[in-house]
Amino acid sequence: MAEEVSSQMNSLSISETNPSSSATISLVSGDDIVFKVEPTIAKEMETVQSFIDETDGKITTIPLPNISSHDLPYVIEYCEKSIAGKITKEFEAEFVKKLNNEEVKELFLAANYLNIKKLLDFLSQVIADRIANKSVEYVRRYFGIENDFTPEEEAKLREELAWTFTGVDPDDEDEN
Amino acid sequence: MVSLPDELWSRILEIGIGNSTLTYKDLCCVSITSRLLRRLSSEHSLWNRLLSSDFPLSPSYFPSSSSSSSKSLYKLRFEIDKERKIAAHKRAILRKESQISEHSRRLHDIQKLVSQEKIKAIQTSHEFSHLLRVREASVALNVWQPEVVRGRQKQMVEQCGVPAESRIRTLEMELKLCKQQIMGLEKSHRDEKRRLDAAKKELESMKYHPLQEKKRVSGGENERIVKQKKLKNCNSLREKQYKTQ
Repeated sequence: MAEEVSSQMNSLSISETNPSSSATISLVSGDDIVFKVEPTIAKEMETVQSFIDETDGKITTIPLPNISSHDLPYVIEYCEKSIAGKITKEFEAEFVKKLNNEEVKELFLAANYLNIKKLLDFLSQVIADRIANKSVEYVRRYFGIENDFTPEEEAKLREELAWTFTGVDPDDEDEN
Repeated sequence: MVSLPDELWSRILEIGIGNSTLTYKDLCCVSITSRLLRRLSSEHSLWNRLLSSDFPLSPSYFPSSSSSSSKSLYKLRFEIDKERKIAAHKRAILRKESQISEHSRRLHDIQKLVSQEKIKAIQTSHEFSHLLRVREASVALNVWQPEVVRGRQKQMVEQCGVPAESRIRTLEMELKLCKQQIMGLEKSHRDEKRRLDAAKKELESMKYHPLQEKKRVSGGENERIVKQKKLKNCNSLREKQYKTQ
């Protein structure tokens, strides 16, 4: 993967396409790292594609200020697999294993920004998996959610929702 | 820390509920974390989905209930379902308990039989040893003995009305039978005991409850508390419904 630091990102982004490089699209991360990708990959990223379409393909360098150079390779990797039709359960499991909670969130935001539906759905699932059957405190910690309830309000809510936390007796196996 | 925009939260919840990764418990848990998430997790569509997936058999009366929230409807169904399950559980425990008392009754019966059989065996062996002595005496009659001894032996043989030889054989048989009986009974005793223990263990695991475990000192009182709590829940639920109507 070719990387080059571009100090004049703005000038790059409006520069006209030169014919020789029209084969690849340059994605510039928020910290000014350039990632060259095949146009097919750009197609997976709706945001990028619509940008290209709007300019009739004249612009091939696209700034992605919201995405860091740490996250972009993951996005590209996923898109590559997606195009190749190689998104399997195994691949997804491996993919997720590499990511910590914070990275999952950042990637999720990146996928949202780039509007990559498959990645978005996949990461939604990952997050749902990670918060399933966890305590309130865990979910708050996981997402850095600020508790904006007053202690009284929270106590009231917990009281109201007590019905969910009193477990149902495990009796089903005897029902036959 | 990155915070997620609303629509992404909704997406996570939607997908999680959609493929059953998340349950009503998770939604409620999420709803306590913050105001935003409370609003997002109370969405009708989410709870409607849960309603149809968790209580597929209940008739849906959505048109009339559109005024009250799907969440409270879910709660209502959930409570009904819980009542049903608790009742079923109680029945199951009763069944198990009667099974246990049946096992112990049978154990008792077997023990009684065993002791009867033992008494019989002792009696038989007494008679047996007596007859052996009689036989010895009758053999001894054929040889010369001092008169005193001979007289006693003769008396012993005469007192014994039955022919000693055949009686000894029947007694031998009887003793053997007794031993077999006792062995058989002891085996069934062991089996029954094993069944009893198994049933007791099952009952214990049926009665286990993660939340009540610590409070299980006085069973009766505990049950009353649960009932009160349930009543309170029902009442508060009803109140809420009045309010929403």
